[in-house]
Amino acid sequence: MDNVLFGCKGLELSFAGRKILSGVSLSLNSGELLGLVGPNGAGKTSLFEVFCGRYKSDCGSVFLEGKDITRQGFYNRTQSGLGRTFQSPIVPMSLSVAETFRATRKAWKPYLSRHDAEWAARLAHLTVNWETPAATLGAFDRRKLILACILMRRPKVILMDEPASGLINAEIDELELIIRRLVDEYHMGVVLIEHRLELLAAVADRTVVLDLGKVIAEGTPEDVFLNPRVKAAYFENVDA
Amino acid sequence: MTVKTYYKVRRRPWEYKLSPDGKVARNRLRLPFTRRHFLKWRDAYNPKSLKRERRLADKKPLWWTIGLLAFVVVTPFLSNSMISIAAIFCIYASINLLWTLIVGTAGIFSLATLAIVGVSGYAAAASNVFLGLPWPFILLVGPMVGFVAGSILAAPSTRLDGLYYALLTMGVAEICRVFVTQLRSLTQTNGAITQVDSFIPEDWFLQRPGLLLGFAGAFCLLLGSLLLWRLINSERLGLLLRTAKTGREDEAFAEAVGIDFRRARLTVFVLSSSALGLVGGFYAMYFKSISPNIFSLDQLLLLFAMMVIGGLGRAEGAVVGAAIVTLIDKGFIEIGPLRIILVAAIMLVVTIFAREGLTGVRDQFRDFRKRKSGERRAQRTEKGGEAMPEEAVEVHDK
Amino acid sequence: MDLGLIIYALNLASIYALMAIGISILWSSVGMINMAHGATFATSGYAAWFVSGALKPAIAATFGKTVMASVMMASVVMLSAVLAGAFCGAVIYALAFLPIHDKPNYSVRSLIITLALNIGVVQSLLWYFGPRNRGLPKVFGFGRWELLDTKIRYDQAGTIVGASLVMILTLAWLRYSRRGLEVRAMMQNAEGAAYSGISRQATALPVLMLTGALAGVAAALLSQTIFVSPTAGVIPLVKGLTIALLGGLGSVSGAVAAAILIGFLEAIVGVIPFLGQRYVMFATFSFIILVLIFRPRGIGGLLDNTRE
Repeated sequence: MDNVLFGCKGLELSFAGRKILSGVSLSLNSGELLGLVGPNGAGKTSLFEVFCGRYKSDCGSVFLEGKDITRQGFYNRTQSGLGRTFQSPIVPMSLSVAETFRATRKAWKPYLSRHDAEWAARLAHLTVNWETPAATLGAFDRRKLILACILMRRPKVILMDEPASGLINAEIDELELIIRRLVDEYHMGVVLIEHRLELLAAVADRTVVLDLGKVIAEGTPEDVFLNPRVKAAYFENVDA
Repeated sequence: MTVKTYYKVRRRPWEYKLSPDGKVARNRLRLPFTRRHFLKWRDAYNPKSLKRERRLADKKPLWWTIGLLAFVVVTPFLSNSMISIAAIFCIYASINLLWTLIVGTAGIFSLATLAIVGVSGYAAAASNVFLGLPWPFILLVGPMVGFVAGSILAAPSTRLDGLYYALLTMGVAEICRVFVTQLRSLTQTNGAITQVDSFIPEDWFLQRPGLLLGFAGAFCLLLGSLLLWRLINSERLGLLLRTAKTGREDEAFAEAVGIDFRRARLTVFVLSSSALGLVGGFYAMYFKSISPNIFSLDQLLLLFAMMVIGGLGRAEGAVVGAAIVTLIDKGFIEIGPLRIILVAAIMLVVTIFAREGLTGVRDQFRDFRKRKSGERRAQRTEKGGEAMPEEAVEVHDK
Repeated sequence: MDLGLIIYALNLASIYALMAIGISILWSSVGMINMAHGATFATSGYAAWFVSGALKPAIAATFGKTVMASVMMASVVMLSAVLAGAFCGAVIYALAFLPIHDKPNYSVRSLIITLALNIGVVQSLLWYFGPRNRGLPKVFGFGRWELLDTKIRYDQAGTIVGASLVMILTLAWLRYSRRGLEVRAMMQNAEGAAYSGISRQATALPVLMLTGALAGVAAALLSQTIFVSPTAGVIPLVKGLTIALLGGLGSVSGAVAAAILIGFLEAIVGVIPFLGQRYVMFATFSFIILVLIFRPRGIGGLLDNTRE
């Protein structure tokens, strides 16, 4: 556990009396791809929101490289090396791709150069014309754009919320390639939310299954999916 | 054989193009100490004629220069009353510009603009009249008070939604008005501070040289506001704010890439509040007095009408609107309340028909023409516009 | 606190609530901040004054000085005010809703149009009728009751009862009628309502006319206490807006609660010796700022939270 890059301990979150997360603890090493699965309403996205600071957890802590970042805001966490993408492919509606990159480069000091942006765009396989308005991009290009914007600062950890939703199979293959490259060559830690188990089985090093705000299983994808508790949570009426 | 008619595809707006000598290296003027150019020239080879063409990608700076030059050249030859109207126009236009910075660029729906102007104007005037500071200090005290007032007002803006913040600032303006009218030391003058010392000498006041001097000062104020507008909007701050402009999703994106947009908004708010403080000080000096009238709702609505008629969120809108409304409001005093009705009618008509005020009419018309020509083109095609995209490639007169 | 103060506070609260509910319902269902509510208020007041003035000789000739005459007079005043209010609502619908409801920037543009309407109408009234105040015939007659050592004027009692009645009727209409159901559907989710076949255009007209009629009732009732004048609408508009916001836009219960709070606050500040009437607005806005600092979404937000 001493080379843990990112993790959380005993996170609790509740909205108006309803428990969303109860005592979630996770850890992630650098160069590891952690898959996060769970049925609808298991609290996966809420966990991400707590990770990136958009929700305040009731108790528990989030740490990055040994530092406690529980009290920091979203952009602070981004600045200390925690990237996050969203399930819906969001981009700035009134900027072009080039302007988006420029804004990202100048988000905080030290400002980056155009070369960093080009490097990040290549890493994210973003090959569109930079003069196109970001709002006219397709879903996959939008995802690549936000990924490129995050990669520009070479983050240590990337949280990806269902990056494959709404993509066709060929695009998913390309995405897999991009993510594996980030993990294997750049030793970033990636946490990936995904509904489809077979995708995770193909790409993840380790899988955590979340159900009703609790971690119910952890291990390699193959082991986890054979776990009876996971089966019960996922395929409610399989054994019945 | 039938004769084929050919239609123009997508008429493009005509543009004036220079044809420079392709062999000579370009030598462009730069703004001193920066890498910025004065004008946005773009060179390209025309694919048909293979000639080098140079066009001005952004013609707005040119129009601004022409307009402002014409204004400053013509005004000294006008009548006395017109000169004072021009000066008042400059003051209103700069307040509008700064307000547009707050509402449009920073996206904070503040109605306390005039309150900030008023508070700092009062503070500056009081420092002159009651503390005996000489008049140049008014131009220092104003921005300082504006800075403090802006910082205080900015604090709740991140917590409150648009309309609620508007309500809060409206409340602040009302509180300021009541507070000023209730001040003991000002009761003889109905809450106004008079006899403010000014950059216009005492015996020139309301004389032609005094009016011209006042106009010159007001014009400098307008130039200053335009400069601030330009500095904020086309540099880093403006870019960061445009990333987080439309709605929650944009804000989420901005945060995800590490942009602290709240801080950027507050910075813009405080900056323009300080500038509004300067305008307040100038206002007190120009009129040599300041009255609680500046906090009133009517005055605020007049300013709002200016912004709306010109076009919300645009610099040229703020200035054009200020010109129109000031001319009606101050130029036709003899027609009484009819002029307010006239302003309201203009506001009504402009808002019903124009998407973004008078200055947005041109873009709107171009969009409309584009849409109509697209519709006509679709009807001309062989299936009456019902071609699928993949078939459309084969239609020769698209 | 004595009973007279409570009655006065309730009187204010009922008028404010009538205005605020109109603004609140309109915002949440049609998505329009109606700045022309003040113009509607003033116009209804003038309509009531004009019609009652015109019909006075006829009523006097038919009924003489009987009770029937005053009843007729009262109903003429109320009816003309309500009709004028509804008519103003229809005008707002035609100018500020129909031409732009499917165009970009609808909410801001409708706000601007209604604001322009408000300024234009108030100035036109000022220009045509002059700034002089006009008294309306008393709907509830003169006189007062003695109750627990305090005198309650008829008009105050009538205002409170009448306003409550109108509000209950409105809420019942919203609750039980088919149109009301459509309006409530639009209040909760405009898009969803459109998907399930509720026409925005068809629903907006009755909502605008209803809120206009509410302003008309408020005008007729308030004119029992003060006079009709072109600028009479400004204060009720500002109060209505602030209360609608304070209550949390779109929350009817929040608006009523806020109206009662503000009514009492104003009544109490008005009688505190060293503050007095001049500080009423001051106190109101200070209170609102305090509330907004602690509850950024108004009182309605508080109710929503506790319900969850």
